[in-house]
Amino acid sequence: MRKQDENPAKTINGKEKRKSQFYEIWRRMRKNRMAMIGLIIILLLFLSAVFAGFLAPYGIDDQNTKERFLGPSLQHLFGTDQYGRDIFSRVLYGGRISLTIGLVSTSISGFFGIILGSIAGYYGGRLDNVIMRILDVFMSLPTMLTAIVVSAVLGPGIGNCMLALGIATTPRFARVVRGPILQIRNQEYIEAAHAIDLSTPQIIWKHILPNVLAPIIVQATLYIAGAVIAAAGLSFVGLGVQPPSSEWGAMLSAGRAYIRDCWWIVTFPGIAILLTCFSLNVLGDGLRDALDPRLKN
Amino acid sequence: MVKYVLKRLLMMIPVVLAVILLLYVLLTLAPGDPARIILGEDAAQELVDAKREELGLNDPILIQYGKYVAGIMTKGDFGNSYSTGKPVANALLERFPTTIGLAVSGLLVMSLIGIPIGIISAVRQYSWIDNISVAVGMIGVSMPNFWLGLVLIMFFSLKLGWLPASGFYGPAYWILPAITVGVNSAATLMRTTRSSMLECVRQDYIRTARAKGQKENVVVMHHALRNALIPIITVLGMQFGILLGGAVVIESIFSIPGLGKYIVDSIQTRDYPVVLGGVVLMAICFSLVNLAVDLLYTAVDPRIKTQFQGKKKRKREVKTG
Repeated sequence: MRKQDENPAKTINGKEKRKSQFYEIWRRMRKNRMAMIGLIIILLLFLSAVFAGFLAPYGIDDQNTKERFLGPSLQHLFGTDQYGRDIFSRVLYGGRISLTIGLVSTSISGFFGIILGSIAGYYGGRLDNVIMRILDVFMSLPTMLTAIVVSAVLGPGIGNCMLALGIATTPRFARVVRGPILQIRNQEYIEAAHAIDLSTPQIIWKHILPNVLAPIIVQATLYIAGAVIAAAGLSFVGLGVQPPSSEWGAMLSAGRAYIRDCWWIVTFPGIAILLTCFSLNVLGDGLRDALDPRLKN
Repeated sequence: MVKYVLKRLLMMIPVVLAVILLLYVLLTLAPGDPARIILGEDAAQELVDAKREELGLNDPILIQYGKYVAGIMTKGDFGNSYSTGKPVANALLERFPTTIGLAVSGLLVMSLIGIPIGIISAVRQYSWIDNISVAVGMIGVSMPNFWLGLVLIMFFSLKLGWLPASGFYGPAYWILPAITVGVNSAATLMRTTRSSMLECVRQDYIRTARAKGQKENVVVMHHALRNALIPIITVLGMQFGILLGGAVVIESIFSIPGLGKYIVDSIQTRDYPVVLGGVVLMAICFSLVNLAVDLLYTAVDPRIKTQFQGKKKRKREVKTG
């Protein structure tokens, strides 16, 4: 019975309202020129990583000993490295790895962060205290140090790198989720949801999380940027992805020995990281502004 | 106030103990048998077993942890390095000042750049200065600082030959690393300063101050900045942690013999007592900085202090005054 009563109302009110909310956000986002630039850049980077196979003029590991250490030219847009590999192609392929690390590690921290944060925020009291104190312990280490320790234990590699970064950022993600939940869990519509006898997971999933989605999305966008930089840092000191791979940090690490004569080897992967993080940060900022109800006219 | 500081210091102890436990358990899970790492791959099994017994590796992990903590507390003993066999504590203390020095000089660079630009940017919102600093700030935040370090080395050391590229022998060697660690954080600090100041300059008391004819720089520095300080201090504290963690990467670029490089090198050689000791030291340092930040809050904003007074005292004050 209850289900029947509920469903029609949801399709009419719930769905339409949700759609218009996103439309509203998009409308405000569009006015923000910087955010749109960020969105376009990140989409281009994403597409160029996905279609690296078509776009790259050379293969990822095509070595050509006759063309070692060539500067940027029309044949090799970003020059070549110590094995004569085309840096432009490697940067494109590297985008796959770096963006994947950013997305997956943020998904890991998002998944656990949302679970822990919403349990802590929703139940409050002793459970909240226990969860938050445990997370405090993690947070009394700087994120990068946690990531370094975890990857020291797990060993190098792409998967371990993603896991290390995910674990390191989970506590901070949980805190971002918990804050707003603490605020809305006493609102009347939550009480109403209780009154119609919804189960707790249902309440959290359908009524609480959609209302804290805004800070979560903003945070996730910024975390992807942070993860790309941190992954590059880990790879750079030899704890993340290892050099034959074209992950941007690993490229920097491998090219470091040649900076005296070949500036292009370390410059372009760095610019790729910079561009990725810049676009994500600008986009995150724009999203935050668009989602902030105080700016609503 | 003294009571509050003591209370906070006491509250820090369980957290630090838990951090050490966490790290201890994590690093015990790391691959490789310590006894084998010390004795080498070819050592006879009996020798390895004897070494395990000597190191106390056959004890339950909580007992090992207890011994480790007791060693730190009573003798400042962080165990012995697997590779050199010498006490870790001495090696850590030798390198610790360098890392702290680097972090502090980074903080200096970031404050000197970040706060003034943030203030100017907020006071002249939407001017060309503001627009440029917002854009540059965004780029600064997005730049991996180890890459900036490489670019600075390429330009100032290798191309122009003005500054040394690596090592740590004199004041000139500090400049590039300090800029490298500082610039990134400066951008974050600038953005925080700007937004916090923007909120403050819109307040009524600023209008009042201007209305009564106060000089503009007094209004900005005393009325607005003082009230904008809390988020700025928060970011300073957070960035200190980031600088400590980032030092690990920066030190290996500039070959600075600090704690961070020592930790990374020791991870490579699987010298876990060194890794553990180094990270524990950094964690304690980070906790102390967090405490200092909280104390600074009370100095900047007396309202916060009253929250930490006991209920009795507050009641008494209400009654009497």
